[in-house]
Amino acid sequence: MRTLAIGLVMLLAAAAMPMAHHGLAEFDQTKRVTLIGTVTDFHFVSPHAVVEFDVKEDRGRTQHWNAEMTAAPNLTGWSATSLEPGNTVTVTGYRAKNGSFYIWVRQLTSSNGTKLRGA
Amino acid sequence: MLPRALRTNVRTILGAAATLLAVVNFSFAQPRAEAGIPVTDPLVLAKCGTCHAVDQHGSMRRVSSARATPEGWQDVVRRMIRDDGVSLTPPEARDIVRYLSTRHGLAPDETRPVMYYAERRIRDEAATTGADVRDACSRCHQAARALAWRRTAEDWKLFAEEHAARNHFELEPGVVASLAKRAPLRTPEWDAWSARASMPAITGRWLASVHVLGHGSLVGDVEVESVPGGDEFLTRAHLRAVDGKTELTRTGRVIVYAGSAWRGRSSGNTDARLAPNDLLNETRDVMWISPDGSRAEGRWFWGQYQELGFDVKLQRASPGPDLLLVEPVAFKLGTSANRMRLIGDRFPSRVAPADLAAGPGVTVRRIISSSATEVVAEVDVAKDAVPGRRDVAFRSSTLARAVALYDRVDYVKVVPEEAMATFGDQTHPRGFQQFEAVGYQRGPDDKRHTDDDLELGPIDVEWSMEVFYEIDLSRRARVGTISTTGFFAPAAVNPAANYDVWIIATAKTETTSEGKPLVGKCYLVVTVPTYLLDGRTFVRDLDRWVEEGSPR
Repeated sequence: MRTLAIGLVMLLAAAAMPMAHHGLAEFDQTKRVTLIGTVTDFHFVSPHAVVEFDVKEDRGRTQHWNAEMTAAPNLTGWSATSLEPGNTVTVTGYRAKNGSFYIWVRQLTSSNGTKLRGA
Repeated sequence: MLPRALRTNVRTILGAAATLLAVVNFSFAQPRAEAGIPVTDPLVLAKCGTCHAVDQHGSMRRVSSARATPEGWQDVVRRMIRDDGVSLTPPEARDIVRYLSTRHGLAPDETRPVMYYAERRIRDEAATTGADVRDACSRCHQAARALAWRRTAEDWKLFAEEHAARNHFELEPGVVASLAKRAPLRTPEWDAWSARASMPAITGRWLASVHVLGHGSLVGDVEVESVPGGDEFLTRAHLRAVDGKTELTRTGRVIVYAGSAWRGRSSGNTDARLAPNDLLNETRDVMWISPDGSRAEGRWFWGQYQELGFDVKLQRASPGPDLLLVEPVAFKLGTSANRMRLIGDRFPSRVAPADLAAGPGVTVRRIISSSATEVVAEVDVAKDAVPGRRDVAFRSSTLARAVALYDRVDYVKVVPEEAMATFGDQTHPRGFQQFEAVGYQRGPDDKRHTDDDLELGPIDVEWSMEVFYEIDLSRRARVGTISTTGFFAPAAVNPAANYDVWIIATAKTETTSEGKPLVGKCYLVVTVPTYLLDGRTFVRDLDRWVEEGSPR
């Protein structure tokens, strides 16, 4: 199924056109935010691998976040089990401009030793 | 010192000797031209021979140096008509493809690894294809398209150079040598098979076991009869859903190439306006027949992007009994009075518990009912039975890995895990996507999402969707809908934008250890049907984008 990624990467390559598959336009690249949370699921898929994690607010409520990364085949050395539910992750990246709980990952560190830098 | 004349003669002799040695060395260094496959068909000789010269051995330039699947030869004939002005009537084109696909075809063992290309399945080729070939091919199409050919080393070189020139790309070094090594013209498989290649023997009754995403399993039979005076076959498939909700009949026509390549079309023969996912829609039927002719498997597919289909397994009907399917496909440890349905053909009229076996830990208490096509047994599963997949036997008929024993459902996987659906426009119908939720147990390594995980079959879920970056539900209506059966339909109006979507399956009964419903997700990209880049129009082809009008 990784071939799907290739097709979509081609779309990304054509990102200049208005109907391209999303690049980073949805994210505010002017400032980085850092979140600490607990992994609830990890999707090792294309076009973007996604970590779902819960972040506790100061008032005790929980926010459910989606952290997007590059496509699974580009995550060299990673597998579907690189992040597992219960891992604590520190995620730094660009938050979605519209305020939804999505973040584009620039750095990720997990309590199980998994790291991603400069994605 | 030698006299001048003699010195000149010595130089001449040495020079001649050196030249001779060079010639001899050259002739040893160059591989002898591989013997081609003679072309004997009068129509091929007449239509192709005007450009492709035939030598004294009956070898036709290029044509004799290659073998391919029917799809490969169809591509070539289409290109010859379109680009080289070859004039062929449709029957002539069909006859040429038929001859070449059979006499210059592939053996079943050569075809099987690349069947997914003919079956129009999206497949991760990383594990099965060399990186050099994959990288060279997959920019435009699956590598299997190239590996569905066999050629001499010289012909791979000619082909690759022409292909690169025609499609404007640079050939990577080593690709030609790799293709020549991986897919040579002469192979032991073809040597052993070629004599049998023109003997398709598929008439008679086949038993069918079918799965359709979102529709579940169906069983039945396929009757095949030959068309008098021709080399085509007529098919009539009777299928009934295991859940009892659907029963259907499909009829069609089939040609068998090279003794093992089943290619045809079939439909439910109705004038009614059909829903996109109706099982009566017309399909292209692509099947692989096993070398001994006892089994066939493949895909009957339809849809703008061939995205919908039946996964079909056929086996020759025997005097019986034949076990086709066990339902349900998974049983929980420590449960009793489970109903186990054995679905098949020609079960005997009298059935006893001893006729059925599912291994240690599974006890058949009694036979609840039986008919010629179904036996229902009551079984207990011991608490300490070994979890895993196991065979089920009914007398002499054994179904391998028919059921799974498990302790709990650990997670839900939505299949496919990655998917694409496509908006439509005036010239491109919409591309849909069917999903199914499958339960899994974590397997012996006690970790989820690893190779040893145990598949437990479809589970009952509620379907929903979530558009990425959505905060007010405003995007959803523009993207599409997911039905209660997991069928995603893109919105009828093309919004000229791409969307990333979670397709979410929430289990109705299975829960986490904290008592929350199990949830599985698929990453779906909903795309436009075409886009413009640098003045060129690109369209979707299966799972990638190709320039409109380019050969696919």
